[in-house]
Amino acid sequence: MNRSSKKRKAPPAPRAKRASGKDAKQRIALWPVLAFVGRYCLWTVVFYALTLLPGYKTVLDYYIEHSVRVDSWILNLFGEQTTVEGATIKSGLSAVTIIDACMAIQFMVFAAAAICAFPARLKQKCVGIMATGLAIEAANHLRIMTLHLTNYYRESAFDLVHLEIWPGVLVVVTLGVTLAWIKWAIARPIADGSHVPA
Amino acid sequence: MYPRKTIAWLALRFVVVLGLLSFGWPGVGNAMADYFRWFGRQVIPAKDGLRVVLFEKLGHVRGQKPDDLRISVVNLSLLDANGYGPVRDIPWPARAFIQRPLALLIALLVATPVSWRKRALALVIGSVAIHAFLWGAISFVIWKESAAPILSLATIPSYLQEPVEALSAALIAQVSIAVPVLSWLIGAVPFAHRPVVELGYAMPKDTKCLCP
Repeated sequence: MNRSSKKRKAPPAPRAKRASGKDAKQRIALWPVLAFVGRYCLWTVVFYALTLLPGYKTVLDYYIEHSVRVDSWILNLFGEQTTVEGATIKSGLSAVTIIDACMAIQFMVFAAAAICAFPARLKQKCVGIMATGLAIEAANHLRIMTLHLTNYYRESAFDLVHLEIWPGVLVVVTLGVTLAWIKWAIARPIADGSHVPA
Repeated sequence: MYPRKTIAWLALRFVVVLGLLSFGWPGVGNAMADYFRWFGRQVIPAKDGLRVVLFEKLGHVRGQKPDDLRISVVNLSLLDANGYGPVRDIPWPARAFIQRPLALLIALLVATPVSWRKRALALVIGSVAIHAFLWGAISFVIWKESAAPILSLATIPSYLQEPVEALSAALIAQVSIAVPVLSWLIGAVPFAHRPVVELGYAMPKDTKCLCP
């Protein structure tokens, strides 16, 4: 090692431009968030406006009845002896009726509006809406089946499972899949090398 | 991005805090009903012209839960000499509208890697946002019920009936998830370490993360 070599002073690293003042500091991060919130609200209005379309109620009723049939079929695969009557799953003296509010539609609207409001490619958004919709739908099927089983085997625990456990689980599932999609969308580069279009 | 282990730890913190805070522990339902009744009385005038709005606890009624509230809307001009007349009742489970949104907000904040000072600030912002939204939602629902034919305290044109119903359903449904999540976004994310990148927006090349 040549000890006599002169120590070179490293050139100062180029300093990033800083926004002056505390307000400017916060504005940088706050505006994109507010823009996202605004877009989210618009998309929520759009999705709820779809419920005003003629035929929505018919489609929803059809969807509920078929969901109940699927749940009954899965339960019967595991040895349960359930029957379906309209939107009701029956088994002995136990019966659970599924109504519109049981279909986790508010969670699907939340996830879909958040995905539409997030700056990503159309294809990514389509994948996100499909994936989150399926995950929430699967969780909801599990919910309906466990509620039926709880009502049949331990009726006293029905309120606990229905009102305490499942609302929280659906929130966790919805947030989890939505955030997982955001992580996935950010990680995928687009053509020019940047990650997400502004 | 944070390492997977960190994300798993934050997710666990979120689930545990959400579970603990949103559970119906003994006494919580009653306290929430008391709180919501107080809040409702503060933001909605009990008597506004001919309209009277009452917030009643139903915990003592058989078959009702401790957090069950009933918002009753009455038209004074339609009451008879004994005080009887048509009433529109709005069932309002207090825990679903106060405890769960606040629990979700707190759980999200606890799972957000920022300082406790920033969490406290975000909690204040989020709580104010949740209460403001609730105020708007209750006012809207009460106005909608006031327009019922049996009360005739307000008028909704027939072509607006369905949109009003849909908006009312949307407002009620969004309280439990969207309002706390958006409040958390506004309150905490701008102050997090990588706010703009986390949200996926392109940053100018010379912009550094300015968060302390």
